[in-house]
Amino acid sequence: MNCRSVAVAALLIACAGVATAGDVTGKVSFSGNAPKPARIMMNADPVCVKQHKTPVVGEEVVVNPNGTLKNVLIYVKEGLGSRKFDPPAAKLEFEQKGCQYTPHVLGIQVGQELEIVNGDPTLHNVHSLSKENAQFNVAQPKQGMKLTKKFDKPEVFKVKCEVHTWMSAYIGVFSHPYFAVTADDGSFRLKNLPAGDYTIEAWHEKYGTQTMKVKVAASGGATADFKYEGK
Amino acid sequence: MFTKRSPRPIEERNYSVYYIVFAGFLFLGTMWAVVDEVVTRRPWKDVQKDYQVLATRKMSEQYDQAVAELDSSALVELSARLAASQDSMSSPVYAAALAGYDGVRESLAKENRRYQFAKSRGDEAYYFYKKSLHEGEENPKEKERLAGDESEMASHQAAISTLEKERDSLLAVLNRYRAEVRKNQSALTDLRKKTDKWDAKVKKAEGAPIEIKQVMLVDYDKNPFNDAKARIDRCQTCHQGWNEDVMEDVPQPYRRHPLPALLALHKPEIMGCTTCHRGQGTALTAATAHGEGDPFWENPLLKGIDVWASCTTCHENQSHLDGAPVYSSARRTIIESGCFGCHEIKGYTDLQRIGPELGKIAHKTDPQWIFRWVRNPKEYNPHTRMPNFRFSDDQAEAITAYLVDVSSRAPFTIAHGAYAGGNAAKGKELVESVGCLACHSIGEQTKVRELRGSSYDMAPELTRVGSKVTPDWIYDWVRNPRHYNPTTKMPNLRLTDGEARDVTSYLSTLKDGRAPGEKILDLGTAATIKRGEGLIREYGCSGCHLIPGMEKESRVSVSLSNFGRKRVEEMDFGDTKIPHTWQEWVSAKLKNSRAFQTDRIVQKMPVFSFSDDEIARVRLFLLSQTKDQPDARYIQAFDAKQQQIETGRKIAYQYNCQQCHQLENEGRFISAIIDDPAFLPPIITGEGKKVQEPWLHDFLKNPSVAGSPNTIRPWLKTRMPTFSLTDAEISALTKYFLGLSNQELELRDYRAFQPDPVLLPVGKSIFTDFQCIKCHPSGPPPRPGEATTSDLAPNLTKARDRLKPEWIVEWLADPNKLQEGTRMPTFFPDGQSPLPDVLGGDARRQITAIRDYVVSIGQPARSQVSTR
Repeated sequence: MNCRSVAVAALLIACAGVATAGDVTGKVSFSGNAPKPARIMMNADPVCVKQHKTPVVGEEVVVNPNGTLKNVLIYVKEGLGSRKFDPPAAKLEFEQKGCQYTPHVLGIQVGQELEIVNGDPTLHNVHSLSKENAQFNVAQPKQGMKLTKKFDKPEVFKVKCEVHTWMSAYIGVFSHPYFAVTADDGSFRLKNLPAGDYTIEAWHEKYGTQTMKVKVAASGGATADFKYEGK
Repeated sequence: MFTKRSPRPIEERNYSVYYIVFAGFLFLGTMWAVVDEVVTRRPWKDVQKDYQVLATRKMSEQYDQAVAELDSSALVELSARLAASQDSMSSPVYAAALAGYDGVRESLAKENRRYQFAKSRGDEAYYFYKKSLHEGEENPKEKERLAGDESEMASHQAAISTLEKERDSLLAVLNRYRAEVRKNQSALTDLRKKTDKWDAKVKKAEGAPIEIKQVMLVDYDKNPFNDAKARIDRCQTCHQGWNEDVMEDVPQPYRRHPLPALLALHKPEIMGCTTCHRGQGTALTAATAHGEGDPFWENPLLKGIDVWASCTTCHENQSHLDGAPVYSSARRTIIESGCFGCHEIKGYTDLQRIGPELGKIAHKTDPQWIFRWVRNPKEYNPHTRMPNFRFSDDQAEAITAYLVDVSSRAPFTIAHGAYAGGNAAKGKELVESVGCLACHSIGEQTKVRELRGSSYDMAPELTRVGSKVTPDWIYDWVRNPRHYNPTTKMPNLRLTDGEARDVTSYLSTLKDGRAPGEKILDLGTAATIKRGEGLIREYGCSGCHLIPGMEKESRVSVSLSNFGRKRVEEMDFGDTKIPHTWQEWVSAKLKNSRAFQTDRIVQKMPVFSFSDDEIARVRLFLLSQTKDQPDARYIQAFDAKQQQIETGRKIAYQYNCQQCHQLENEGRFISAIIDDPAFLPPIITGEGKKVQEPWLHDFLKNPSVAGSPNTIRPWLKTRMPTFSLTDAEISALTKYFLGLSNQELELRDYRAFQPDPVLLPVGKSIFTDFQCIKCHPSGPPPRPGEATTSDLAPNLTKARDRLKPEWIVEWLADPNKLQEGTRMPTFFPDGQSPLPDVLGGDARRQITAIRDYVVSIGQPARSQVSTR
């Protein structure tokens, strides 16, 4: 067997490994009282005010109509062992629009490019309050300005704008591709996890973290439903 | 008893058996000696062999990784290109060019020679021609000869320049080929830089000779006659990996030194290891080198944090050393604990007493409180810096009697009823926001103390203050602490009357819930007062407190100048059973200063409540107190600049600037109660290069008041207090800040700064483009209806009178570098400008333009000063 056929065999084995993978799916439900969403007063910057016809409220706690919680970051915390994952080539976009960050919570892989765009005709700055990764605080005084960033170490950190003090967002950096953020239906899907035992963690900016152990069988996935409770 | 003699005569007896046996012993003995010499007594050889194996493996791993990371396709391509470019040098074109080049060079040399000959002949003809002229008769023959030579020279010259052109064009052809080879070669070298580096390292490690590695410091030590004495250091014989990054996670003795940055300044190749670590440098076995194997070696290896004691050897005059946080914090513990009050400590003989003056104490609190405090200060305030003297009731009573007697005679009055009631809730809010909690703990609010990590507070805990002092006293105190105590460190927070009343109202609610039994005190008797005076002198209370009648008392205890060299034989271990070592004695003494007291031996040192960490730090400081001094050229010069820094640093420590500010990488403990770094008091290490000296003077004299138009950071709730510094103190602080920034105090006319007339309008347009005004109110005041975010950043109208122009440039380039965590973003990430069309996209020029505009903002219409 020459070298090339060894490589092909290894590739086949790797593919076979992925073939015995499953998805972890679930939902993040919410019970109890959610705090009343705080109204954001954008008076300090007329450019911001102009962009909104309806009152804007904060995104700290967003409960979906179906009783689920939005903006929860779900990810594999333990169980991947020493597997290494190459970052995807696709860029992720993080926009400042209407003096708010979109998305409010974002997951990204180590080494993956994040394009930070100013979609507003006003000055914004992006100040990362990261602890593991080098902090940055870059101004984007013009509409359409772009900045590309990569992160080296896994962590969840806050991003804020100093000009518009109400603007905040969270970025979760992971060393693997198994993460998701709950959207308007509160559900999530971690795709193609190799068979094995995992600890899945849910993170919410106000209500903190919860963990759950799941087993992904050789065929089929697993379910992980999280429950958060308001106080 | 006597056996019968052998009948055989001695000449016939055979001793060969004895001979062989003893010869055998001798042989074995010799063999043993050889083995012992070569193997047993050379354990370092095994260490070096093991190191070789380990280092080779570790470096091979790096090599393999470098090979794996090597872009193999690029390698193949570059090698092919190199080979091709080398091949092309044997092509006919190159060969022809080379041959042509050589030929031309030869012809050129010939032509040059011919030219030179023609020139010589011409010179000769010229001489004779000129001679004939001087002699009054022109020689036509010579004239003709001269003309002929000159024309020959010209023709050679023409040939030379043609040949030169030909040579250059051929050389260009050759160079094209050669440059291609060189380019490919260097690209290949670059590509293989990492693999080559590791390859070389592996080879070096594999082939490293087994030999003693020795550093000799010929003039570091002195013998008792003050002659230079060599210090031999062989530590690196076993500790071979001290400088190898790959040896970071291997066991000793192969491990890399944990602080490479420190070693870059103190090169072990020159300084050796024992200069910091101590130990027996010449020894070649671990036990003797480290000291355990040689109980009579006086410099055993310093273990744990004790190694930081060595910094003192060359840096004894500095209370802070960058890169030596343990050393610096040990020094701070000594300063803050007031050890210098009783002991003479070099460098700390001129510090202010750490305790409050007691000349008016009777006007502050009642005798019962004083008595209880003297009896055991920790009972009222467990985190006070005042140690416990374990006075008996009688002794405490006598001391109280003296203090009350002497202080009630002091002229001091507080207007009774000055405190006319206040709002406790508002007061609490003020106490929690203006900065009181940075120094004072109250009840559960102990976060700052915890972050600080010290067992003591820098200011009294206020949990029970309402039971100690009256509201009138509190009101008077918070309004102006220096009224009661002119030497207090407590600054003035510039509370308004109303605020002071609210604060007083809140603090008065903080009562001592416990019900201490009142002792009936007899304070009036002259004998008691006299006895109290004696006790105060005996126990040296005036080392920390200014007490009337005892202003000039000397220190009551021993000097610590050579304490690090105190012998165990000189230490009294009392009735304790602890091991008799210097370390154990000091630790036990610091844990309980009365530990070695016996029924015969009375000890007076009060009992401190140091944590184990603090004990270790104080111990390392004491260990550093020796008279050992290396040759002067190894000692860091305590020159005028260092003296200025140290003088200012002591003032900063005295007023405890570090409690709120980060200064020389220390402090900022207030961050325990302020979450957002943007709301923290600023980092002031670089203040010297940042602000103008006259501004700093005015600011320290009278910090801007929150809410006033002069406030720099209106968003801070914490107030920079007024420390009532003298001009001398401000000068010292200014020189300290300048020294930290490597600047000298010089007279500068900051107002004479003229913006560049070309850059100014560009700066203004960038300023507008960047929307700086979004955060920086830059006066004139906002137009009616224009919303501002004005409390986000300093008002730039003040920049001109406050900031050094060159600092503004540095700041704009990378704000976070100068003020970590600042809200000011960078507009020039990675030094790149987002405006490619302005000033050719030159970030530096754009920054200068903004600076020029910013400085011009605060400029009134040209004054006579600047137009003069």
